[in-house]
This record gives sequence, structure tokens and C-alpha cells, in this order.
Amino acid sequence: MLGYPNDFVSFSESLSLAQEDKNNIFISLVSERKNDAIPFAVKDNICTLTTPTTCASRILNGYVSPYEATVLTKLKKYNCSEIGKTNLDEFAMGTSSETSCYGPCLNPWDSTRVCGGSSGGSAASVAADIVPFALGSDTGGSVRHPASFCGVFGFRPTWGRVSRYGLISMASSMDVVGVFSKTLNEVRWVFDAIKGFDRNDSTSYDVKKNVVLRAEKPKKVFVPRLKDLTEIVEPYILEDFEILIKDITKENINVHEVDCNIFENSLPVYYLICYAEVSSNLSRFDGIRFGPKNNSHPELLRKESFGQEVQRRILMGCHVLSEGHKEGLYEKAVYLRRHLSSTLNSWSKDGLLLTPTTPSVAFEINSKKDPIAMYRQDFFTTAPSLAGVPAINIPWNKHKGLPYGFQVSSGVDMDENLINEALWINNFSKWTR
Amino acid sequence: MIGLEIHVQLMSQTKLYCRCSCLYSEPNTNCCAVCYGLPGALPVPNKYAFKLASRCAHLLKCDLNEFSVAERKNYFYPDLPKGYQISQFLKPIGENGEWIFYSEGIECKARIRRIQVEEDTAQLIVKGNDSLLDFNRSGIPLLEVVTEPDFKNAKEAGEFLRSLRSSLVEYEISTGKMETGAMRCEPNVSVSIDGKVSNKVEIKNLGSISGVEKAIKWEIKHQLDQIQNGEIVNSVTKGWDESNQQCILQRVKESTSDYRYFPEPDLSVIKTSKSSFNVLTPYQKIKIMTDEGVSFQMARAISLNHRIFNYYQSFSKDVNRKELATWIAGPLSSFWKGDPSILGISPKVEDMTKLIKHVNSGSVTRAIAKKILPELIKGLELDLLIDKFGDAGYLSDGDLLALVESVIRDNPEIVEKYRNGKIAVIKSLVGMGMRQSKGRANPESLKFEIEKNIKST
Repeated sequence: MLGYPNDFVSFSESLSLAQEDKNNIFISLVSERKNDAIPFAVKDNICTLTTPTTCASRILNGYVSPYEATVLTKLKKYNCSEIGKTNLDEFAMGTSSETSCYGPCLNPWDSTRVCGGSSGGSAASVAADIVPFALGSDTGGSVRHPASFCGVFGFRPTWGRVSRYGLISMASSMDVVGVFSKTLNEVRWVFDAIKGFDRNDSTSYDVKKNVVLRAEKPKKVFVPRLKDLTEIVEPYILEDFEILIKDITKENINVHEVDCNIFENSLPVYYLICYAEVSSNLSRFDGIRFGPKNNSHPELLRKESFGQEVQRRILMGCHVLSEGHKEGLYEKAVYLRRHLSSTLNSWSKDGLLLTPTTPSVAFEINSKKDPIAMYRQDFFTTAPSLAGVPAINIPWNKHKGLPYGFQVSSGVDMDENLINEALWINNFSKWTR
Repeated sequence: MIGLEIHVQLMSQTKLYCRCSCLYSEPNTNCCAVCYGLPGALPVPNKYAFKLASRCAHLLKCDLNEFSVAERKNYFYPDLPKGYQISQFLKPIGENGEWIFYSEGIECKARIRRIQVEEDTAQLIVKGNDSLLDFNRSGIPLLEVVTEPDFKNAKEAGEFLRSLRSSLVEYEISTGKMETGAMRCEPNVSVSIDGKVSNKVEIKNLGSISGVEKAIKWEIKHQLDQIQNGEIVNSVTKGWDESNQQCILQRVKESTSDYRYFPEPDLSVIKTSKSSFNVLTPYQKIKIMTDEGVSFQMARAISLNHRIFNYYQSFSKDVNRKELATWIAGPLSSFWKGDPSILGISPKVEDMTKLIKHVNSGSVTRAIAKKILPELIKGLELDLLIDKFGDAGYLSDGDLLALVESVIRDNPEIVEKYRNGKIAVIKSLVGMGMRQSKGRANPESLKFEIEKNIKST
């Protein structure tokens, strides 16, 4: 039972699934809701009680969590009701939502193209007007990337400001629950509903500050050195980016260029740490407790049930943590991460970091076979992830009918201020439906 | 050379990283998403368990890492639901401690390498063809104490464990009950001949301290035999087989396991503040008692149970300490049978003081005092009890000699045996005399007089 763009993988129990007409199904689903309930969609790696939570992996086929993620419990208090679970890259590992065991999630703007990832289904469901907002998860860019490809706002909060309880871990030190919506007002509303300390997540915390939602002009803006960008991003994106810089310079904002190496270096650091944590986080799927009940040996069962990218990351993770390699790989990455994190946070003291979100618009399905080429999709998004700082994709423009966005990021706990600054930057956006 | 790894279950009501109860109950009833390692569940540290660990760090004179780091120890085993155990590695809660204790009257010191907080695994139970898992144990807080290889023989290791256990119980860090698994010990044994040290052998499944001693003793002898026969001692893991009283091979270690430790990203750095309380270890207690004239053996026995030691200490310094220790380590301890809760019905300090004074002055004989003791514990009045015996003091010399004559007269066969060289029968003659006197004879004088009487006729 899949929606047309393959964005949903399951629907909440309370919904009538009798509708045969796939194009109309969502309209009927949504209209059946209680009049005042706000429908939303949830990425299928966040635990829900009434629908399976599968991470788009065969190893969790049919798995129903006995408990609910804190973010969902919180949203219910705000009269929100989830309508279903959305498609993703298997265990959120990927930037195209193609590695799902349910098949690729299609881009609502062009069904021959991917919708980005890994929270592709959530981004697509908002872009296609199925729901006003959706929850995703962002580790290295998994909210911002598909938001750019689908033309919606995608917000990654500061690590720790939103409870991760019930979010199935990929790389715990960078995983956050993020928000997709078409307006920043809604992003802020959802963030206010889900943020704060949770007794089930000891890394979560409250930030006591009162920031009213209103467009706020940033004092200073850091941008990647433009001449470095020609190699990295498509010309049409660069052109828009240059226009934006001119526009904001006219507003008497101090624009400061930074070395692109910070992004270039972030990629390997991000992947090393991600691999290491993945290898440990996924070891609970040991082939005994989860996965199809057949007579396969647990090791064989893991091999049969995990997709290629998941297996690659588990193996690489075991390698980077192993004796003799740990010091040169994992520990070095942790050291560089600390350095990078303090650099990013020092910039945020006087301003924000502005970059393109993705190097291009959505690519064609099955066109990126080389994993390294796929990893380079995260070029601009991993640095804020490593630093644990908030970041937002602002839908900026379309190229040949395909959306792309710009990313703004700030310092730890500056989430509300960042939304306000994004609101101001958004005034220069060329986005139209 | 022997090193010990000791797992101590911390005396916490709830588990280390969730709120489930640690109490014993039906299998898989004290469990939640965290205990089962379900996807999306996160550990939430139990601050009290870390406080107990900090107490132990203070007890063992460890340097406390106020900011200790939880790390993941990655390995596969069916009883490990997450595929990793949350333990500590680079920054354990305590490092570089020491524990001073006595072994057979000699002062010993064991260096403590580290103490670390970790979660217990689930329990794997094999029943026929089924392997069953009980997750009640999963997540129970453990403290692992790792010593340097500072023990020279089995007795030292045993005495270390006895004295440490006593303090863990006293400062409410653990129940210390080995029979319920609240304290588990894995010795590493290697022998050294002419400076050459053999590979170390790890011994598991030890259910009691005497089991630890027996297993070490057996293993040392086994390794010496192996070396003498020109064999190589392999680095292996063995288990103690209680029924056959020997160590049996469990598995061969091909190489040291790589646990791929890394800091647990689901937890922040854990802040634990320093504990401060006055520590009185069994070693110090023995010193206090022997300085007061108590024999080492009795002092050792009293030092191993803090409630018994506190009882000893509650007496006024005027009371003859040696006499007091004799009463406590002897007759009283046999009433308590090692169960300190029985101390609730121990004789009142003033009564016991009086009784000891009576014994010292001879107004109550030792034998009668022993008879009075159980009644005294029941709460009866001491004076009434002594009155019940009428005259409770020692027999006069004349009465004693009369008693001796009557014993010899009534038992000609036994006397004959004694005369024929079976001098051990004197004991039965003394026993009969003690019974006849209702405990009022002094056993030594009685024996002396009986022997004198027989020899003179």
C-alpha cells in the first residue's frame, strides 16, 4: 500500500485504507481526521505505536515498537496526529532515499528523479501538500538535503535540544529529529512543541530564553570563498548565491569569506565518526532478535537483511575502531571534529554561516552508483552536524523546474535566533510555487 | 602472581541506565526498552549507582575521576542485547588505589589498578535444546575492581576478598553475597620461576571465597607440574568444577579480543562528586584489637563483620578486652552464625559487662556463664539467672577434691584404661566431673587433680 510518489511506507491504523484511487487517497485520509487535528508525517525510523517502524530495512520488517518516541507524545499534546510513516534510505544511510527496501522515493517535482535523503519521504510529503509538516531525522544532512531537492524548509535543531528517545540511532552523536514545513512560522511552532528536556534522553536539555518569531537581520555572514565554489556547485546555484551575497552586502551586512577546506575536511571526519557509531548502533540487529524468522544462521541473516550501504558502513566502522587503526582514523577524526566545532561556534558569535545546501538539483534515479559521489552530496551539510549546531535549508529557486536551497547555520542553542535570521534572508529568495 | 577482577553488584534499587527494579522476580518482569536494547531506547544514568562507586573509590583510596566517561565495549554474545556493554575504559571512575589487609598475621598490600562502573548482561539459561534469556539482570549496576597481580598465594587472595567484602557491606556499597552473584571474582594466575613468568590463566565461575582459594591453589600446582614436565602454560580461560575440585578448560584465547571501545555517544560525561567519610578497614580494626591484647585470630574473626566489631567497640574500655573478644568470637558468634541480623538479640552491653566481671572474679564459673548466655540473649535478667544457679562460683578446694574422689570411685574401668596408657580418656573423666559439679568446677584444676589422684594411688 504505497502512495503514488512512494513517500509513505505505512499508514496509521485509524485511517481508512479502502480508497482505491491512489491520487485521492491522501485527501480522503486527511479529511477523515477529526476536524481540529493537525495531520503530520513521520520518518519511518521514529518509533510509533500503531504502525511498524522499519527504517526501510528488511531486518525490521513488521517490527512494531512497544513504546512511542517522545517527539510524538509531545506533538499529540498539541493536537497533532500522525497519518503515516515515510520512506527513507535504509537506516537513514544515504542522500537519495534510494536504498530503501521499499524502493526509491520519487521526487514530487519530477518522478524520474530522487527526492534527496535520507528523509526523502518526509520532504516529499510536505512538498506534495499531503501534510503541513513532517518529522525527519538529520545526521549529516538528512533533513536539509531532501528539503533542498523538494523545495521546502528543513530544520536541523541543535543536538540535544530535541529528545532522541524513540529515534532509531544511526550515528548517535550527530542524530537529531528535524522538521519539514513550507513556512518558517510552522517550523518554529513544531520546534517549540518538540523541544526540551526529556527524562528518557539524558543528553536532552532545556534552554531558557524568550525569542519572539520575527525577521532579524544577521550582523555578519560567513560564506565559502566564491572562487573555490566553481568546482563544487552547479553554475546556476553559484549565480544565485553570488546575487544573494550582493543583496545582503547592500544591506550593510559584513560578508566574510572562509576557506572551503572546512567543508572539504568535514566530509571524511563525518564519515569516519558516522561509520564507527553505525557499526556499534546496528550490532543490536544481531540476527537473533530481529529480522525474518527463518532457519538462517544469524550472520547469514544479517547479510541477507541489510542492504549494501548499511553493510559497507558497518564493516568500515569495525575497521576504523579496530586496534591498530583506531588511533589514525577514529581518534584523529574525533580530534579534528573538536577543532572544527570550535571554529564553527566561534563564527556564530557574530553571525551565521551561509552556503548552498546541495551542490546540484535532484539527480536521476539510479544515476549515482559511486558511493563517494553520493557522499559528496553532503559537502555543505556535514560541518554543522559535526559541530552540533542548528541549520536550516531555505528553498531558494528552481532550475528547469527542480528546486534547490541555501543553508544557514548558527551556533549551539541559537535555534530560535537562526529561524529569525532565516526569515530575514528568505526575503531575498526567488522561490515561487 | 595472582591478580583479581572482582564484579560487585552495587546496592541500588534500580538499574544503571533505566528505572527498572533490581530486585529478584520472575524472569523478564523487571525489564523495559532499555533492558531489552530495543531500537531507539537510550540509557539514562542512575546517579546513585555512581555515588556508590565513588564511595568505593574513597574506600580503596583511588584517585576519583570526577568526570568519568562511559564507553561502549563492543562484542557479540546472545546475553548482550545491544551488541555492546556500556562500561568504562580510558577514564574509569577510580584509578590507582590500594587495599591493606592481613593474611595469616602478615600485613599485605594490594594495588588497585582501576574501578569502573558497568551494566550487567542478561542471563543465558540453557534448558535442553532451548537457550532462554532472562533480561531481569540486564542493566543491573556493577562495579568492576581490577587489582594489580600483587597476590602471592591463594590465602592472600582469599583474605583480600574477605576483608574487602566486609567493608563493602559496612559502607552499603554492595550486599557482598557471593551465593546470589552480588560479588563475583575472576582470578588471573601465573607462576614465576627464576624470574620467568608463565602465561596467565583466567578462572571463571567461582561461587565462594573458599572456591577462589581452592581454584587458585589447584591452578598454581597444575602450572608448576606443567612447567616441570616441560609443557607450556597456555593463556586460557578455565572454569572451577566444584564437584571434581579442579579447573577445567573453557576456551583457548587465540588473541586478545578487540572490543573497539569508544565513548558512549548517548551519554554525556558523568560527573560524580568525591565521597568523604571515615573509613575503618578490617586491617585497622585488627590493629586496634591486637593492640588491646586480643589474639590475631580472634581479632580477624571480629573484624570481618562490622556489626560484630561495633558490638565489641560499644563496651567500655574497662572491660577486659581479651576476655570480651573471647566471648564475642567464641560463644556469641556461634549464636549469630555469621548472620549479623541476629545481633538484634545480642545481650545488653551492661549485662555482658557484668557477666565478664563475674567470670573474671570467679563468682560465676566460665561453664555456668556459657549456660547463662542463651537465656540472657532471650532477654532474661542476668541477676535472676545467676540466682537460679544458686552458688555459681567455683568449688572450694575441699569440694573439688571430694568431687575428684567420687569421679575416680565411680569409674574404675576408665581409670584402669588410663593407667594402661590410654591417657586420652582423661577427657571423659573431666567431662563427668564437670557435669556432676553443674559447671562449678574449673576444668583445668579438675584435670590436674584427677591425674594427681590417679598417679598417687
